[in-house]
Amino acid sequence: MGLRANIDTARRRWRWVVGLSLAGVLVAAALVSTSAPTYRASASVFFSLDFGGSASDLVQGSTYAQNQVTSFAALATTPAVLQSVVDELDPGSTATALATRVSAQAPTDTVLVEVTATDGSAAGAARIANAVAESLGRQVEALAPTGADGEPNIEATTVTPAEAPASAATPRVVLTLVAGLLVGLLLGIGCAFARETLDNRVRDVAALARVTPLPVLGLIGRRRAGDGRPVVVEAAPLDPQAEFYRQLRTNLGFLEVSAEREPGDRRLSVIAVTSSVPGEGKSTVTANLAAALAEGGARVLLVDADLRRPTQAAMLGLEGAAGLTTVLRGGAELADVVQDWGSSGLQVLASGACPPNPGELLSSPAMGRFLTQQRAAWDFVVIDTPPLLPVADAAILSRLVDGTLVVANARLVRRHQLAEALTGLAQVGAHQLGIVLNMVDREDSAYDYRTDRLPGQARRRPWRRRPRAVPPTAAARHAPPTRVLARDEVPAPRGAPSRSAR
Amino acid sequence: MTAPPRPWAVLVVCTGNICRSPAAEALLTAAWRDTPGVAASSAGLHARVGEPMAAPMAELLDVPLPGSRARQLTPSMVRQSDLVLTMTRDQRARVVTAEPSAVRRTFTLREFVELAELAVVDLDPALDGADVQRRTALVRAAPRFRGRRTADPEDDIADPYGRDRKAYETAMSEVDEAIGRLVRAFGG
Repeated sequence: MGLRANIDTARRRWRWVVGLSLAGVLVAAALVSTSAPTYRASASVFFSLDFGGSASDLVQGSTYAQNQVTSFAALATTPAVLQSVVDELDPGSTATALATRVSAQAPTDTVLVEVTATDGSAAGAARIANAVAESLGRQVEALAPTGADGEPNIEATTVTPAEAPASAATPRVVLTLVAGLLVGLLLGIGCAFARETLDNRVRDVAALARVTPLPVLGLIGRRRAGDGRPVVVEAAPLDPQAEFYRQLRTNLGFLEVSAEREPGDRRLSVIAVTSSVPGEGKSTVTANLAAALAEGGARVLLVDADLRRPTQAAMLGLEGAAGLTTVLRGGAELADVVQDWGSSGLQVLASGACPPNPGELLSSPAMGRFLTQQRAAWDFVVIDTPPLLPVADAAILSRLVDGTLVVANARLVRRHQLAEALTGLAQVGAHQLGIVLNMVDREDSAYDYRTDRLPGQARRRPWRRRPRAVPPTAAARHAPPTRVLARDEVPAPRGAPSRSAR
Repeated sequence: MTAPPRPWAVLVVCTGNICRSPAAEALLTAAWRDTPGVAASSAGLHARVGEPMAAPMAELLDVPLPGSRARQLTPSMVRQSDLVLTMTRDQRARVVTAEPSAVRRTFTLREFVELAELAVVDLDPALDGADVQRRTALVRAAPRFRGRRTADPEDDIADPYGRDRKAYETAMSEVDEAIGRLVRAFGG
């Protein structure tokens, strides 16, 4: 964990930090507002030896008083002094109880004793302090050795009578609030890091790299404001969101180049899109990818092969009652039930009625024949499939297609789930194209783009954090079809595919 | 222009074929009175076969009642239609289930009106308003514009049958408004 990772953590979990800091302040404020105020008042007593004489006597007397005054201070909290105060002010209480509210100290090198009393009322505090000071004086005079004339030779004078304080001694509002804030802040930071450590989601590219060595083909940022039309490539072509999908399209083009090792090698035509668990945004990614491919000029067929919970028809506003299952059972030809969608000629085959045996239907020879036919007929066939972990459909299909894309939702899927899903795919011998990381924090992705790990690409060049700014949408919109680009001009290895501007 | 061998046919579908769809049929027929080569008909998914139009609905209609009585929808009716309009999305799914090849020309009435209004902007201006080719082009172009709108419950017109007069009035005004816009989109 470097400094940047720590800062990232703090930024991602800022709600914890802010929340607990606020809670700390609130608790402190509650303490302040519920605790009863207390007041503190002090009185000072001056002790002097009272036997007139020579100057040396005075000096000796003063030294004697200084030596004794510490004991006088200690005397102030004894029942000998306090009992009379209790009797006078609060007969119901005891001297011991009062002692907890009274303190006395003798400042060094003086013959003063400062008596401090604490009470719930300002006037009360002053009254107690004065009473104790007076009682102390009396007791000291009574206890002191007497002179030749029978008079006590120590005289106590209350030099500074206590006055009712203007403000309460406790609670100390500012100090308490600051302390609450600090404690909350520390707790918040602690919790943020604890959560981060316990969080086993595929947060970012770095977390993904720990799960799988597969390349990241797309980073789909979170959409700030949706308007209910999830296929942004069609609904809002200028949205940065749409640019993410064009990036995915471009990266698929690169993959195709690297996949073509021998002449006549398999081309990347039939692509299944799946995810580990439901709700990762797989269908949205599928539809947008298909729309982006169609936008690039390719002839694209989008097939909804999620025969358990088909969503493409509803998402695209199409009629889903006729589709793949209709064709597979021979109810209609593809040409009869394929539906035109969007401005770029995308053709959609909805799911059709949901069959009772989706797995068997997808593994049937009819499905194999269907895909073989479509592979020949289209530039791209993009297939939406059910998630990998709950059902085997996607694993079955993955063997019939040229490659499988796995969508991983950075905010949902756990690392072990993704790992399990990918292991399942590997076991059936699927050609795994790579991962599309969905719902990534945009702030992170801005920096993580440079670590895109496409096969055959040059290693990252950190100083090229910002690739040259190509006007993103214009360039992408007028770019030749991906297929043409991929075949005719093999792109030079680039540090990072051009990232979309804000 | 010579008249086409078969009229360009619109089939309106609802449940019983006694309230919403015959009203739409009547309104379309009246609007296309002077347009040659077009025909509107209606049928029901669970038609109350042989019944005339429901009285509360007929009272609200200010054009001549349709000549035919309620009839049950068959796949061949769908096959012979150039445009199938249902009242709800559920009916749309049932029509398509019965005749999958009709999926590209089956819409709910309100959905199609919105799509047609979007599609008509891009239509080749050389096509004549009353021309069959223009109507066909419009029906073919309409589905592409599904990406520009959001399918929602507003696409449906609720069944007034067995409900109070207000429900009939609502259904009638919704059908009337949609048919008016549809006829305008088709160019009269």
